[in-house]
Amino acid sequence: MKEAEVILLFKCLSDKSRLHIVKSLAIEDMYVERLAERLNLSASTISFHLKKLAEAGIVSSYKTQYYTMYSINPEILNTSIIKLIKEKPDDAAIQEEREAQYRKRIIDSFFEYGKLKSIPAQRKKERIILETIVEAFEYNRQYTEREVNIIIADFFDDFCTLRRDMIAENLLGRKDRLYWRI
Amino acid sequence: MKILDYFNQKESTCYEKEKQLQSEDRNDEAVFEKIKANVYNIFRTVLSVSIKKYPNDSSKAHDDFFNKLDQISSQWVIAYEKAEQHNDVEKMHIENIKLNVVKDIRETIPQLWEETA
Repeated sequence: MKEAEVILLFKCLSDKSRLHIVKSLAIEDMYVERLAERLNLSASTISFHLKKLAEAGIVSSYKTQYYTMYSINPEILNTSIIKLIKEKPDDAAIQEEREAQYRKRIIDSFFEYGKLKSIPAQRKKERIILETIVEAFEYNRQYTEREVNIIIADFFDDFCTLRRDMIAENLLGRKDRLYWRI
Repeated sequence: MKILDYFNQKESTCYEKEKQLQSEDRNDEAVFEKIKANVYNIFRTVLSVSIKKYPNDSSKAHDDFFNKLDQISSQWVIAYEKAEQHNDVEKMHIENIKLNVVKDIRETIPQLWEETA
């Protein structure tokens, strides 16, 4: 388990309500309304906590005929704390994790529900944004300019600027009005 | 004024709850109480502005306040709907908290206003 995941796990469990949810789920799998009644919290508060618990990998859900049921993930909860603490990430892994966290921060602040809010002024940040958008293009396929514009316009209205910047950043190639992912 | 008392009381109750929840290590729920307190605070300010704007016309102040309430909360409705479309449970919950405070204000203020007028 990565250090960031361990921190997320501890952070997530350091909340009394979430701990009570986990305790309840340790007895049996439950749905949101049942947990809400049992813990005297609103259903939306329970959903909020369950989302956090799911993100930390502590709980997972499955659908039954009428309800979405939640259960604890024994694999994570059976891990001994000493084992989690003793895990030493190497320098490369730490660096990689930092980079991933930085990228996530940039993506979270510049995108909202998959739409780009604005083009970052800083080149490094714009590069991350462009790398995210270029994921919408397939490798080994040629696109017409119109197709490229349509794909980019799904993210941001000013597709011309982004298209040009993607070429400048060597993320897209262009020849004879045809484009491809590099 | 009764209406301002209502806002003050609601806000201080939220802050008390916030402290209590913090002491119980329920930090996210404590934040929710702070959000509620902030919303009461916003609309107390809006009310003060409306009263200042129409010091001698209670009816106009009333309408001005409710227009602003509608205007501000309509953005939260949009944010809630957007979050719902994307199944963003966290955002939905926060917008819901704000909208529940608006609902409480909408239900309480008209009566208090009548009593004050």
